[in-house]
Amino acid sequence: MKRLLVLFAIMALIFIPAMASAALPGEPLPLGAVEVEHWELAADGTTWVHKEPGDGLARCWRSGGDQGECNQTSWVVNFTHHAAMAQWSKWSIGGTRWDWRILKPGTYAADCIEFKLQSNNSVLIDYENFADLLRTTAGGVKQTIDTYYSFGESIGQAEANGWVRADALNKHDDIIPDSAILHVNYVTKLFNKIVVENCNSSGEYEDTATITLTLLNQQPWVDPAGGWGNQSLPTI
Amino acid sequence: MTWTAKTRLANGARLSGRRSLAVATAIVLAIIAMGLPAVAQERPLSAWRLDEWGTWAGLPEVNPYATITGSGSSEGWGNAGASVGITARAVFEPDLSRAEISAEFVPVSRAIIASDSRLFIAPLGQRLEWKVIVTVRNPNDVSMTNVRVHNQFGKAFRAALTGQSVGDARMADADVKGLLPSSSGFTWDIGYLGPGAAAKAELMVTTNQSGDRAEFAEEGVYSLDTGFQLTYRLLGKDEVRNTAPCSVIARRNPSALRSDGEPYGVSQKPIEQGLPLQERPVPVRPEVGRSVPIGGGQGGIVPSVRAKQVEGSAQITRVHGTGMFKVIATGVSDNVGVKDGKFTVPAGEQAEWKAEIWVKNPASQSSSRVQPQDQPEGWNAWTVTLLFGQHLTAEEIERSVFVPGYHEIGNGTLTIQEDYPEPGITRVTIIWNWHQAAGNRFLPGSEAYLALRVKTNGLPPSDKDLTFCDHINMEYNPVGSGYWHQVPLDPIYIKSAGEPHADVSVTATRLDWRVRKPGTYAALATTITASGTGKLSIQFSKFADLARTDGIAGTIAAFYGFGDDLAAAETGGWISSADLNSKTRYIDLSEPVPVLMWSKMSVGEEVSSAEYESKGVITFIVSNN
Repeated sequence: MKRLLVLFAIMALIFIPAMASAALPGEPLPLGAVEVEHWELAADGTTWVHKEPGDGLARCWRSGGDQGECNQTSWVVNFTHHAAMAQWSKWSIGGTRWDWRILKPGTYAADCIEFKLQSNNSVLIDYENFADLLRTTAGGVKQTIDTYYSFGESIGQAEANGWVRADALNKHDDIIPDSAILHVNYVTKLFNKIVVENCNSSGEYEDTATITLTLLNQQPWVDPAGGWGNQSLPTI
Repeated sequence: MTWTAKTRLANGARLSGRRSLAVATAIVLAIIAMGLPAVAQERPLSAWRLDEWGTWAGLPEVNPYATITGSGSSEGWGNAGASVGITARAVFEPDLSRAEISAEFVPVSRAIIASDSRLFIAPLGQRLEWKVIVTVRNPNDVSMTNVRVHNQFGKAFRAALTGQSVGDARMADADVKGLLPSSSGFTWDIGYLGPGAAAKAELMVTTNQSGDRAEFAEEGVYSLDTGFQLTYRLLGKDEVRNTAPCSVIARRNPSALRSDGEPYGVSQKPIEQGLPLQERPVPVRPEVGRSVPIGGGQGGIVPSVRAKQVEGSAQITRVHGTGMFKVIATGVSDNVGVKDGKFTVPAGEQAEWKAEIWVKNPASQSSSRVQPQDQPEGWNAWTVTLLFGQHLTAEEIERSVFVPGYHEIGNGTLTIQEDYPEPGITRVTIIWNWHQAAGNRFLPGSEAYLALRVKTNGLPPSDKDLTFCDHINMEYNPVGSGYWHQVPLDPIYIKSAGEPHADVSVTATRLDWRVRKPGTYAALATTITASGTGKLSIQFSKFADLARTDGIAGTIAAFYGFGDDLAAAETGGWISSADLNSKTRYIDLSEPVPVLMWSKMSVGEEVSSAEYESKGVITFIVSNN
């Protein structure tokens, strides 16, 4: 008995922390601002870890300063406390590859991959190179298996959300807007559906695609790799 | 009740709670008066007590802590605003929770004026009524047994039991066989009282029947009761507790006890009120050397020195009550002022005064009306001494001595010398010495006058008063006396700082954070250093959590701390930005210590990427104290 073996390698997930075209304008540092040491509270909640200027997950600059000498009974100093928050994200995906093994023609669906995303601002999801699974060897009656994708917590929800044909997904970018659930943990499952027909010859079928996550509100002083970028922005 | 009043009440309770573990945290009676003329009927309200464990415990109607009743109600339905009058009354008796017995006499008759909880003032000719609430508690961890309460009410009163929560209570009249009005005895057998348990009894006390009327017929002080006596057995030992007795002052016009008609505000017991106050002895100055005090001829010091400020001029006067000796110092330069009876001069500035000194042998003394011709002896000699303060110089402007009938009299010897026993200190000493010559004495009616120019090139800033002149004294030797009589005057001071002054430096007025990940971060925000004179207060306002600058909701929690380093700030406690606005810090400019202000912010996962900012205001106020 011949076995129909479909090898379904779907995607490699590439995470891009920042894109120049999707950054916040940022606010320059004041003229004469001097970066100073700071402390970061360790995970134990009690230990302060000293950080030299340029080091750590946050950096601090002091500026201004004021001096007065007079006999007036009072005077006022305005104090500004400013914080620029960069965009961050935590994400996980339950797998980057689906492998189907199919004995008989039919329509099949699976969730397979749980997708978790946490960020402190809007995230763009871009799909590229999605296509029907393509027979890896020449020959056969039909070279491709019709492939669809959907999101949802359950198959019913995925069905309700509607299946998107693989190649149509490439034109279909999703933006997960800034929301409380995104800050906490946005969780969904990626469902796929394949329609295996009689005309699909036995063999290996595969498609490799890419999902790109883009942080849409990143600060300009964060470099594309997610580290500290150039802090020498124009001063106020 | 206003929230402020509630807070005060709560504070009061909290303080009391510190003194006593089991004290009630607060007693709040709120009576809501409704706008409609409804009959206000009291009803008990639920009360809770914050116990030692910080939890709210419901209080039964009878309890050792607090009761609350309310009356009236209010509601509205319309398109206009409404105004509701609210009346609240709170009775707070500190440490009652630890007291085994308490008794509250509540006047029911409006005519009764409560002077304090144990003294009432009441009119004649009216029936008077009190409600008495007796509460017995067991604040101990073990049971009380053989618990019994007894009291004897005065013969002018009649008590009736209206109820008790537990036990057997009864009234018994004494002297039932006599002709005099009987006194009511109260006995309450409670028996057993478990730990934390309480029992309450209520009585009604009225003025006793006198003839055919239940009222006071004569003015006087009437003993309402002898005080409740509680006896009980605890851990095999008999214990006794007493409440203070009550009294009533009966007057035809009770409010006349005070002219303003306010409740009589004395706390003394009635029997003590009649005691006259003892006269306070006048303190006597010690004698110095051979000197004898002057004034009145009786060896007593005349309380004499006074200071006055002449309006429009910076002038301070010291004059002895006898009129024999006077010093007037007047500011010449415009920068000299007077405040609180002291000169004020800006530190470091040149200043000038005119100091005038008068010595006078009075021609007429009010006590004796002695005329010069009647006391021809006069004084043999006199000497004026005074010592100017540091940084002051003095020079003579004018000097004259006038003795009636002797126009060629000498002006005495004036010595202006700069010597002072302490090394490094220069003070100008003035000695003006006059002696009789050829029998020409300083007769009654004689006068002497000396004017000095006093200058400074600048006084140092100081929190403490500087001396303008002290040790001001005139001594004279009357003819026929072996003593030198002393006429001292009080010193004159300069408020050295003049105006408070401060030099303040703030190392930073802006803090910029760039944060990549959630976390808690801290940095030294700014260092405030100051110098000068007086006290510098640092007040914070408009500080708040950092808010998004793009108008979208979102904040970063900001905290501030003070200390020499981060650990000290941590130990001292972080202050939320909102709470910082109610804080004031001080720098004593006499010993200035820098104030290091630390910033802490907690960036949670809920914080969106954006710009956040808060603009606070730090106000520095320099004052003298």
